[in-house]
Amino acid sequence: MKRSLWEMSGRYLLPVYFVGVLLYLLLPLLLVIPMSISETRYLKFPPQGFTLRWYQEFFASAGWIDATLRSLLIATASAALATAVGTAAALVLSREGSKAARAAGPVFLGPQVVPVIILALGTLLVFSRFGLYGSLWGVVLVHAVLALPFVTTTVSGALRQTGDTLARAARVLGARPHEAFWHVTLPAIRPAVISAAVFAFFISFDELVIALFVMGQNETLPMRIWADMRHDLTPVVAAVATLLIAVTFAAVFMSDLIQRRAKRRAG
Amino acid sequence: MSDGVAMPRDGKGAARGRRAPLSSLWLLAPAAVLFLFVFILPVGEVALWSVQGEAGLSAENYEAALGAGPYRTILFGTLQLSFGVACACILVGYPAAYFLASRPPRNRTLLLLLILTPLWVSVLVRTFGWIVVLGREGLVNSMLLGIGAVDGPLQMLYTRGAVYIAMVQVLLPVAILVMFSTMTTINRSLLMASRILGASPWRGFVHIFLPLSAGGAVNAWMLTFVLALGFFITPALVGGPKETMIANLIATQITLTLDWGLGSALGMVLVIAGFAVVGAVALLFRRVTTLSGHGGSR
Repeated sequence: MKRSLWEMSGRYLLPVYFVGVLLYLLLPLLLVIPMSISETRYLKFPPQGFTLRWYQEFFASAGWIDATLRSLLIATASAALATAVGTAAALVLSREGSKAARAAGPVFLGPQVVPVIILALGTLLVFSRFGLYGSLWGVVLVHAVLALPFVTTTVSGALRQTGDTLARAARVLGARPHEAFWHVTLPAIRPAVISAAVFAFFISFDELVIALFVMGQNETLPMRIWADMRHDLTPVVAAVATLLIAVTFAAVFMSDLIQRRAKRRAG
Repeated sequence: MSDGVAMPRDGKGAARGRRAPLSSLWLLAPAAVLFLFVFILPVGEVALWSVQGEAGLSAENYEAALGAGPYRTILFGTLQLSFGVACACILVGYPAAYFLASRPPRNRTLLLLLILTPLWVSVLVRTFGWIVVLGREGLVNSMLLGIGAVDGPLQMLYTRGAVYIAMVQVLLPVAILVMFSTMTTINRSLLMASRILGASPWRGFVHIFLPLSAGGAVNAWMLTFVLALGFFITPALVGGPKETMIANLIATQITLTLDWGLGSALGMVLVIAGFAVVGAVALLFRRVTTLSGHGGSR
């Protein structure tokens, strides 16, 4: 009796529970979409009518577009920086038994363990000392550091999986280290590098707290959303949120596709 | 035969040849420099500011932060809320991670992707979703009013409950991921062996699976707890004044009252309290976490 109860709950109860968890995680996101085409000025459920006005307002507003472009620039730069620096570090960190790797590995996880607010505060203190307050490039550096742990973990995982036999063979056959990397190692780990870059991009693109502390008048997109949500909460936020969700989902599935195709090719 | 291909005879040379040529330690340098200037330096600066008083070194900021009064209340409130959120993440996430780990690997990938997708979406957007769900004219209220369960709209936004619901939703994927990775290392033949020896599946779960997966749960708890401590966006948007967390207080100190010393001291207290709790938990569950790492292979 007890046994069948356990099996029954494993077969029916657990899947139902899992679907419930999925709904809890995804439903609030998906509900944002209908709100963005509702005609009412305030948030009212269910949505009324159909309008694209809020999207028009977004694209017609210099404030929103400036903030978006600024965020795109920051995110692209910091993703490029984090990916380059992180991949270089991963080449060392993935070496088994290396003392440097064992020592540096946990250190690089620091930004994940220390609350972002501390980093934001410290960044403000440092930036105001060096006159970097409001500087785009300062924020690029901080966002790159936030993304660094993800890049090194992802890339060193891929490096460990592919091993260095081929790269070593290339070296034996006369390739220089950077040639072996460029022609042998990089093609093998390209999917991991791409998904690390995409992830780094979104870490920066979505980051609010540090930008809020140090960007001043140079609003980024998250800062603009934050200001809007705190003050008047217009449906434009719903339109922006919908655009963000669409872009994010597309990126997630693209990078998953790339990974999967690479796996299939590898056999 | 050229020199490059010649195999060195002695073991020492072979070991060097195996290691040296692929990557030099210098590749770590850019990351280290970035880290030093953009992570160590700012955190050090916070520590420095926190002990700076009107005249030189002083503990006055810490006295203000920890002495009786609103700051201490907020500090304890933050610890309490983070504790509760981390526990809720484990309780809600464990069965989901268990379900994921017991799927065949083919279906697993897609389900895991669905669980992890929200992680990529901005916390701002995720919190906005909760405003739509819990607002005065949101989904829940319109449903409750529609079926006539309540007479007027319930106040759900700007309450502690809303902060819990939204924070758990933000952190749950992380907790599930950590617990799931531990569960996949568990050697399933141990469970089968227990069945053959006559144990019920329930007993097998309690005596084998649960202890072996507990380490993952503890790790997930520590991670979500630390992340919750620094939460800033969600409490500010869906919580009331009572749900003010340390991070929000720090922001106020920095931007409005311009008391950077006090803000820094509050930040240091947050980090130290976080490490203290995590350290205590790690020590308390030392046996559990070491057991889990091996997935029952020992």
